Amino acid sequence: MPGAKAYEVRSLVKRYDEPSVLANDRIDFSVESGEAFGLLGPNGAGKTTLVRQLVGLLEPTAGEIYLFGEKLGSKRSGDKRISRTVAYLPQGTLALGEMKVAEAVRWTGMLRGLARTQATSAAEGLMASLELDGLVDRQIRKLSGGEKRLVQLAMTLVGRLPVLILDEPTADIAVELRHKIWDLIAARCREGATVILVTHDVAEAEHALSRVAILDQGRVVAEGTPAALKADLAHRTRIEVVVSESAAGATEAIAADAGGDARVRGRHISIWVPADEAIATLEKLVASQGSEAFEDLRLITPTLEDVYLEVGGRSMTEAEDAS
Amino acid sequence: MSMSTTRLGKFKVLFQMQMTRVRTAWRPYLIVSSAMPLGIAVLMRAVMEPAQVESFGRQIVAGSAILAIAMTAIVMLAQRVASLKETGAIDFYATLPVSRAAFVAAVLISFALFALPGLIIVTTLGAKLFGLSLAALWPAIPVWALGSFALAGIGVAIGFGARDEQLAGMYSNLAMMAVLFLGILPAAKLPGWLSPVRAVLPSTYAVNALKPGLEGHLQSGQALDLLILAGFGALSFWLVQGPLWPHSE
Repeated sequence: MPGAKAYEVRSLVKRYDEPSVLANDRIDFSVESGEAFGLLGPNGAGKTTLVRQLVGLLEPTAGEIYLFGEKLGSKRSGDKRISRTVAYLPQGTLALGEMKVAEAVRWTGMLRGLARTQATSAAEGLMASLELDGLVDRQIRKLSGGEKRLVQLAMTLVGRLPVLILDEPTADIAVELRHKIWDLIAARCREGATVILVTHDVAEAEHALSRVAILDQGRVVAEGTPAALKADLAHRTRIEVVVSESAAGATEAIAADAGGDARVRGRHISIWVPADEAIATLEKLVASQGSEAFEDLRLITPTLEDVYLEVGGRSMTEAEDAS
Repeated sequence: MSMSTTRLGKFKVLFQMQMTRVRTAWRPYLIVSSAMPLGIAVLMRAVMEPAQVESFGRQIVAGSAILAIAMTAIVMLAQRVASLKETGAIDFYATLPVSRAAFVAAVLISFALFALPGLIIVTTLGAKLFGLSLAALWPAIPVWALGSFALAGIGVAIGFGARDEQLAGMYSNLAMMAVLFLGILPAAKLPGWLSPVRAVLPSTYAVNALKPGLEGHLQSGQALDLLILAGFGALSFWLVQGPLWPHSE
């Protein structure tokens, strides 16, 4: 449908049986065509369950999903509208290790409808972009974890479908190559593709996405552009303190002395203070405790992690530990 | 010049993808599927009196040959499918614009091919061991095609249904044991209560269709056995690409 949103999700509920778990709880969001949209949250937040419903691999318990304005039926598995429109990169490594890199990408392109010559040329282009061109004749099973992930990413990108759903695309991938992948995603969006990216990596969300929905315990707890979400916290600054080992016993006292909204984890103290009081608070701490009491002192501009902390009540790492 | 891959082209690609499995698994497909059935035939031959060799030789060789198919088409395929399911590869195929039927057919046909060397080795060496004829064995071709298709359906169903690869291995070995005992042992030697189990196992009809050829002649009943085998193949194919396809909750 021309001008329609790429995806629109209304009151989506997913409950698993045995054990009964409410994985998605009345989720609403929409993704514009050509947008790089992110689902951000810790492990167990319900992100993968959500995208598996978007691609028809799971049946929702309740709610509606629209793809380019067309309501997807209740029996979505095998829905050709999805498979012709959406390319999906699942989490983990697929058991397709006997295939060689080039043939895996080329064959996937052909299964998406490209003619052999088109698929070959598209595969070559993608492999060059992802620095896989030296590995084209290697079997996938003989590659490193990061290389396997890149091959799967190339298999997802080949065929240039209008929507890409990428679940943790940069997991196991070296930092320098992550930027390349983010650039590739941005380029696809500029060409009109819609990207839905699932991640628990705040840096990835900040770099690669134009808008994010933060999920916690199956619910969308915040939604907006990374800049807008962080702007809500712009009036505050976080001071990160690492107390030296010799002063470790005084950590609680130092936190109390700092004032503001302080949280203590081991020798680490996070202190939220009004932005215009941050320098003064820092100076007060050093003056009262002496510089030798600290291993590290930093002023941090709010990140999406802070937004998550604010709306979810705990840090991304804490939530992952709990899940 | 074609600007897109046709349905047939997509099926060829799916088939090629399944055939890449040979690159790593040809040894088990060839050796395991031949060694155990052949070993059983050798063992049976060693403990038999000459009169028993005459009476039961065809049953044992035909049963061992079909067991060779079952080793590949049930045991190894069930584990392979369970592994594909466990790692999300089935989901990968499910999100591509290809039909489930094409994917399942590609899997079944590839594993039918993987079962072929074992069938040839066991049939020829087994016939030599028991002094049987290989002159009228052309029905072995449809027996191979239809039998491996039907048995592979069981393998795929177990792989889809099992929670993980280990459980798929256990269930498929149980199924293979049924093929072993109910296929190799003559019906007259089995307790009556096992008759219904024999009747619902495609291997029974595969063994029956293969036996006459080992005596050097053909029988009219072979056509019926092949027809039933085709029915089993069609039913198992329909089940695994439809009702038994691994839907998530």
